[in-house]
Order: sequence, then C-alpha cells, then structure tokens
Amino acid sequence: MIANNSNRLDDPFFRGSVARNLAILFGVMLIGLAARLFYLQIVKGSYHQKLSDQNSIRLQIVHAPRGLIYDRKGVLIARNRPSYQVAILPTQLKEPKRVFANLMRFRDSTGNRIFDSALVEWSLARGRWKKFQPLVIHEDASPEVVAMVEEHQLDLPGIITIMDSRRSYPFGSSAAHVIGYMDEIKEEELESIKEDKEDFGDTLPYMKGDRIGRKGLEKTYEPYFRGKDGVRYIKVNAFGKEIEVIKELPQIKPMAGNNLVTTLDMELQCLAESLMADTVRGAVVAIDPRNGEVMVMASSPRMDGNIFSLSRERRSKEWAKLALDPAMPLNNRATVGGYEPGSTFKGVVSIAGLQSGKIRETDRMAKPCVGGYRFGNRFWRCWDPKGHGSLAMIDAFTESCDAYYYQLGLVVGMDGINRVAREFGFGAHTGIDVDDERSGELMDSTSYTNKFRKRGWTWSRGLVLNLSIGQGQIVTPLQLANYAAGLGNGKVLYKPHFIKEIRNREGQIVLAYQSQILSKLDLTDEQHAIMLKAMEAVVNSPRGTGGRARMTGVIVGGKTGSAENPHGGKTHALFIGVAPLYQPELAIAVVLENVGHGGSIAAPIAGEIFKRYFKRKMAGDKQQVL
Amino acid sequence: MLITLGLIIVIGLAVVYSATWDEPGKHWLKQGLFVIMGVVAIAGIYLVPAKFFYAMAYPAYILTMFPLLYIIIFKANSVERWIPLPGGFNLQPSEITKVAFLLAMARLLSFQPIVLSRPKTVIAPVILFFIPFVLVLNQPNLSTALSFVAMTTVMAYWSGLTVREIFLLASPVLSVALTFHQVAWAVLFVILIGIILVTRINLKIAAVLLLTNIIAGYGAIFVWNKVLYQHQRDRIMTFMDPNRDPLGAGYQVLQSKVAIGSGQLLGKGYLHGTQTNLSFLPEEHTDFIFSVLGEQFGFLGCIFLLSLYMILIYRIVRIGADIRNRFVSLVAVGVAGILGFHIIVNVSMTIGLMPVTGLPLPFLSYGGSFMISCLVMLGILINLKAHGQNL
Repeated sequence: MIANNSNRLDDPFFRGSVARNLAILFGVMLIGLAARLFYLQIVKGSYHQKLSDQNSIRLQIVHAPRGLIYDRKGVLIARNRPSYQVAILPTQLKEPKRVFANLMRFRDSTGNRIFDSALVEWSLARGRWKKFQPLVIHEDASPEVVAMVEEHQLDLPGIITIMDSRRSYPFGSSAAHVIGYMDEIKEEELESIKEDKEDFGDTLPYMKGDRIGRKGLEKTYEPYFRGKDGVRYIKVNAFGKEIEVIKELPQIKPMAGNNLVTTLDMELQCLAESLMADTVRGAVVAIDPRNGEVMVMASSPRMDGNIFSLSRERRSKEWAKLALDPAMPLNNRATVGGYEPGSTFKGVVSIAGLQSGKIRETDRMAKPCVGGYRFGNRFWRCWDPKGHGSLAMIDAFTESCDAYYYQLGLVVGMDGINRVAREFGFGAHTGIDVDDERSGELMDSTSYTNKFRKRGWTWSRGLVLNLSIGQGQIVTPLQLANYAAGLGNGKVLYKPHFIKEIRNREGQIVLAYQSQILSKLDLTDEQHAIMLKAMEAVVNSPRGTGGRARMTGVIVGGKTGSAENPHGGKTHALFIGVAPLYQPELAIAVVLENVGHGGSIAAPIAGEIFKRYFKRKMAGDKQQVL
Repeated sequence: MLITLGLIIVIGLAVVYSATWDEPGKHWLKQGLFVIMGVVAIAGIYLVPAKFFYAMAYPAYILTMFPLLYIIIFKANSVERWIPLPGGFNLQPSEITKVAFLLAMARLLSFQPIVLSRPKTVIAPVILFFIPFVLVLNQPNLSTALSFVAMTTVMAYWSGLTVREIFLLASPVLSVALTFHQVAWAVLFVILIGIILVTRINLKIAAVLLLTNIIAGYGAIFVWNKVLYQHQRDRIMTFMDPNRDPLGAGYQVLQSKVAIGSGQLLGKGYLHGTQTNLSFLPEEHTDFIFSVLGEQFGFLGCIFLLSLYMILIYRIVRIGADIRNRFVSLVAVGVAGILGFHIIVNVSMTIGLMPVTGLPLPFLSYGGSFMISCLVMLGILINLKAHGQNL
C-alpha cells in the first residue's frame, strides 16, 4: 500500500490525541448515564421499589361504547347493557392452588359449580405467559356471582371483576335476522386483521376477547359502530382492584361509535311477525317503491340475537338448539330462502308479451281454457279444473289462468321472459346491506342443461310452459318485494337497503344514504297502466284471487301465487302487493311455506300490514292538521 | 480486551436466561448457540490472511447491497427487516452490510482522507455512505441507519476532520430533520454561516454546502407531503415521539424505569426480578435487557457493566491508536464507534433519556444476527491487530 500523500494518520501523536478525545467523549456519556442510574436507583429507589412491589401500574383498555341502532321513527333496537366478567389477574395471583380450591367452592342454588374447573385450570396455566392481561374465567356473570366474588376478595387474591358492556336487543327476536348479532373475535381473524393493520388509522386493532359484528347490520356497519377504544394507566391495589387513573401518563380517550338509523319500521315489523305463527316457515318483506327503503323484513321462525351476549356456556347451549332445529331459525328466509315464484311471475310474462309486439292487451289465446291446455301429448292443467274459457290479458291475470300463460309463454319464448325478469331484479343479488343473500336463478335452455346434466335431463319446449307460470325459477322474498315495488313504480327499480343515515353521538349526520337505482325499467306508460289495472283487478274485482288484501279508502294492487312444492304437501302461499296502487308508497311480498293458497293465506297478511300503515298515516295526517 | 468481552458475554447469557427462563422458546440456549457460532467465526477469521479483508472491502460492500435491495423490493409492504433462513433463523441483511461498510470506508479513508477544500475527497465517502444509509432507512430502520452515521462520523473524525468540519458535512441531514420547524432551521443556517465564516473555507464549497442544505430541506418537505403514504408518516412520527403510541413505547419505558429503579443499590438478586420476570416488559430479553440487569443487580451491577463497556471501547480505540497501519486503525475506530453508539442509545432508552428505537445492546441483547455481526467485527479486528502491521 502506497501513501499517495502525507497523512495525519501516520502521526502517532495525532492518533493518540484523537483516541484520547474519543475515549473521553464516550466516558463522559457513560458518566451521564451513571448519573441518571444513580437518580433512578438510589435517589428514587425506594419509590420505584414500592411501585414494583405492588406491580401497581396497569395498562387498561377502555372500550368505546358501541354505536346504537334505531328504526326509522327513532325507536332504539340495539343498545348496550352493562355486563360483569370475573377474571384472573395473573400478576396478583400469588397462590394459584388456594385460589383454585376456593373458586371451586362456589356453587349456585342447584349445587352446581359456578366456575368451570377446566377453564380455570387452563387460564391459570396460561397466566404464566400472559401475565399482564386479565383472563376471563366467567363471562356475563350474574349480580349474585359478582357480589360473592367481591365479598370473598381476601380468599381470592388475583381474582377481579371487570365491568364491560354487551349488546342487548330490546325487541328480542324481532328483526333479529336483519340486525344480526355479535360474537367474540376468532384467533385467525386477529391474525388477518393484524396483517392489514394499516387500514385502521388511529383505531386500536382488535384484541383477543373483543367482540365483532358477525351477521346482519352489526356486521355490515361494524366499522361505524366500533368507535375508537381508549387506553389509560391505572394504579391498582394488592388485590388487583383499580384505585385511580394515573394522570401523568399519556392516555387516549375512547370515542363512542356512530349510531345507525335504519329504514326499518318496528311497528310494522312486529305486526308482520305477529301475523306469522312461529310454527310457520316463511318471510314478509316491505319496501318503499319510491326509494328502496326496506321497512319490514321478517323471517319465521325467528331467533334471538340476545343469546350471543350470554356467557359462553349458555350461549353454546342456545346456539346448539338453533343450529340443530330442522326449521333452521338461523336462516334469514327473506334473503336466503329460495322459492319458486309461482303465479306472481305472471306479471313478468305479461310484460314480456306486451313488449314482444306479438300480443295486445285485448288479444285472446288460440285455445280457450278448458281446465288446462293440451301441448304435445300431454294435458297441462290449469289450477281451476272448471276452466276459464277464452280470456284477454287482464282477466287472465286477475283469475290467474294458467292455460292463457302457457300459450303466452310459448309465443314470447324464454329469452323475452328472462330479459324482463332480469330487469325486475330476478336472478341476481339485489346488493342489500346485510350479508348472505341468494341470487336465485332464472332458467333457459343453456342453464337448464348445465344444471341437470348429471341427471341426464335435457331442455324441452314443454319446460317453457312450467316456467311461464313461475315453476322452475328460484327467487327470494326480497326479490319478490322489490319486483312488486318495480311494478308499482313503473320506471326504476331501486337497490333495497336498511341504512337511512349514520349519526355521531352528538346526533349530527355523518353519512346520509342516497338511494341507488338497480335497473331502469323498459316499460311504456301504456304497458304500465295495463299492469296496474290488472293488479287492481286481482285484489278488487270479485273474480280476483287476491280479494283478502283489499282495504277501504286505499287501492291495493297485487298478485297471488301458489307455488307447487316439489316435496309434495300443500303449496307455498305467495302474495305480492303494492299500495296506493297509483301513487305507490309500500310494496309487500309474503311467502309462506306449505300452507296452501296465496289468496287465502298470504294475501290477508299483506292486507293487515297495508291497513296498519295507512291507518297510522291518516291518523298522523290528522294530527299534523291539528 | 478478550477477558472483558468474555465477561460481558457471560453476563449477557445469564441475564437473557433470567429474563426468559420461565417462558417457552429456550432463548438462552439459542443465544448460547449464537455466541458459539460467533466464537467459531472469530477463530475462522483469525486463520484468514489479513490482506483478504483489505482486498475484499469493496467487493463485499457491493455484494451486501443485494440483500438490502431484496428487502426493499420483496418486503415493501411489511415491517419485517429480515430474510428467513432454513432452520427457523432470520437473517438481518443490514447487519452484514454494517461489517462490509466498515471495511470499505476504512479502505477508502486510509489512502484518501477527507479534506474539505478538495471536493473529490468528500464526494467518494459521501457516496459510499449514502447508498447503504438510504437503503437501510427505506426498510424502514431509522435506528440502524443512524448507526451508519455514528460509524462514519467517528471514522471521519479519526481521519483528520475537525468537529466543525463534521458539522458542516452533516448539516444537510440536520436540515432534513429541522426543516419542519422554521425557527430551528433558521438557527441551523445561522450556525452554518458562522462556521463557514470562521473556518474561511473556499467560497465555492460554501455555496455548494448552503445549496445542498436548502435542497435537502425543501426536498424533505416535498417527499413528506407528496411521496410518503399516511402509514409511513405515522411510522416516522411514532419514532420521533413514542408517546403517540402509549400502548407500546411509553408503557415499556415506564415499566423499564420502575424495574431499574427498584433494583436500588444492590439489586433484587439473580432470578429474583419481579418486574421483569412477571413479563411486564414485552421486549425484556432483546431491547430492554438492560432493565433486567438493573433490576436484579442494582446500581452497582449497572456501573460494573458500564465500566466493562468503557474498558472494551477504550481497548479497541487503543488498538487504533497503537497500530501503524491506517486501514487497521480506521477499522478499530469504526468498531468502537458503532459499539459505543449502540451502548449509549440503548441504555439511554431503557432509562427514559431517549426515544425507544429498537437498537440492541451489544453482547447482551438476545438476537443472532447482531451478536454474530458484533463478534465478527471484533474477530476481524483481532486478526488485523495480529497480522495487519505490514498490510
């Protein structure tokens, strides 16, 4: 190595002095550190000793109150209630064996142990690794248990009670499918949330033991409801009981979650539920045709979201009951129930006929109804064996003549029918703001062949006859209600939704929902008028099948349906209705499984809801005038 | 030096054991394994001819940039700064880079000391420093990036720069930090101009310096507002002010202070720490290992350890002062710089004098990459001391 110039590094005196300077610099810094250590350990030593002996500083997460849910009139339908948890605080647990024995001594009035020995044992073992986190050993404890634990605190060092809050649904099982429920967050969810933690901004990430919206509105609007958890440091005594908040340390105040105002109308909701006996399976949906607001969504049999706020033990018992019930009360039949639309589908076929240009309103079909229609080598029956004779469209719709629609379907063809059906929202998700929605399905030659390829069934023209009277498609009650809304509105189909607005705790509107159009209806005014006339006749003409939905003062229009049940037994009863027919405000779909005819069973339920709605409205109008 | 080092390592193993004996994972055993691997590495290094390190300085420097790039490209969206290796170990590339950078910088400065009046001698070390600095900074690992600054500064000082000159060179970095506070930035400029006037350096160089400072300042603002995402800004803000995140750093420091303070004069005795053994300290065996020591061995224990560190650093600097070869002496001083920086920053953090940065304590903190890289640096130094006289 050749030095290319004179270099001070070659001078041992220079190196020596620089080395000295560096050593002195380092030494001075170390002396600074030593001074600080002297202050902490000697001057303030006994103070720190005391703090450390008590292990008295604890980090506490202050859960933000969850946002509330209201119906459209401001009635509270989801709130928070206080709930006590009994927990082990491992840092304060000095004698696990004695505490365990003492805990096992607690028994309820029937003589059973209050604390689950396996859970307590597991928590004690886990406490060795997770020392500064309280481990819950008894959830949602009753006031008696809380009192017992507090009373015996001397025998239970390290056992604490924590006040918390849990969700409570004052209407119980009413609208429970829509509201949904909450549940403890799962381990794998925590992991996946951790990975995209960036999305949370300032919000604390979810922690083990946190509860999260699991279904329905609770799930959809979880980010709004949750708020921001706070954090603070507290001083605790030797038993782990909180003494005071340490103000010198940084803390974050919790921020309450936002409230959701829904479009639900609890009065009508409860009415609809009361009209369906709990032994009946089915659904009722009511929508405002002017904007897609869902006012009623009832599914029977019902379940109660409150059970998910209970202690683990009671919760799993109740859950098992629901999950094993053959009536499947956990299912929201309004959105996941798949039904054949039956004669309610004849509206679609009628419109398809008018739009095809091959049929006019006054035209009659080639063959009169003689209690059926012969096609190929088979006689396809009409529901009325007496026969309807030769009818034009409105009369055929009113009397729901199958023979007419068999022939109309053959004239129009499946493509035309399905195009109109899609316009009215069939065969696709509506995009409503609760999870779990079935898209349903429409049939044509391709989809049929695909679906039944395994069974070796192939498409034949005879199937057009079945599909023309609504046998073979799958639709949901929600789609039916939206279809009724579309028939009433005549111009557009709105996306059904429950959200009206989100408000913060001060009541200011954070988000006001704007109705969205799902599809524009390709319907001339003339065609719309024909359909309204036909729907009016179904309910109001003496020959109509839906007379039991009639009411005085307001014109109700609708269509009945009695879908044949592939499993035998009685037919499913269906009714779709809309009122006031010429200025629609409310569209209803009723679907009941295996109970008989739509006209006799489903139509009266819709009628009752219409009556209550308009009676209340008129009373309200009168009040306003006063 | 070796005795001191041995003592520190033994203390380290004992404290890691004490911090984690009641937890799963057998950290102390793994740490022991790391020490053995490090010692084997030292022995292996001793057999390598001293010329090798001089010759390999630049190639190694270039080679170690690739793992850094790998992290930036493939771990762009994660906070991980390591590459997983078979056998459940993770490799932190920035640790290897440190060693290679030390050798490269020593080689560069050994034949061309920085002279401010000759820009050529300034530009080469600045480029050499900037590439790994920016790459590590981007990981993002601000604290390790700062340890490059410490190493470079000490070596620059050693090679003949005065404190004032170092300040001038470092001023653009200060500009980046201070630009967000108008008054502080203005004060920096006043000081800069003052130094320029006093030292009477070349006007051209002075102009370049001031311009660099202005560009660095406004550039930083531009990058902050236009280039960085919100979460990146949050991360930097949390580093600057740990109180923003009271769940994490503030809590740790508080508990660490209580732990150390409660050790008082003599400590609570080995394995009898209540704070640390109760897992109040989440990072007790890595970044907060000093609190475990403070609690169990008290003030005297802490002073004893700090004295050992003092001896170690002094011995290393002495090697630099005594040896005639410039390269070796620069390596020695660089090693002293980086170890000293870690010691001061880490201990300050555990006693609440500096923000929590995640910088480990040499030879004590649990962690393979860091332990081995420290030992390797010492190994190279031992080799060079023995065989490097006439390099």
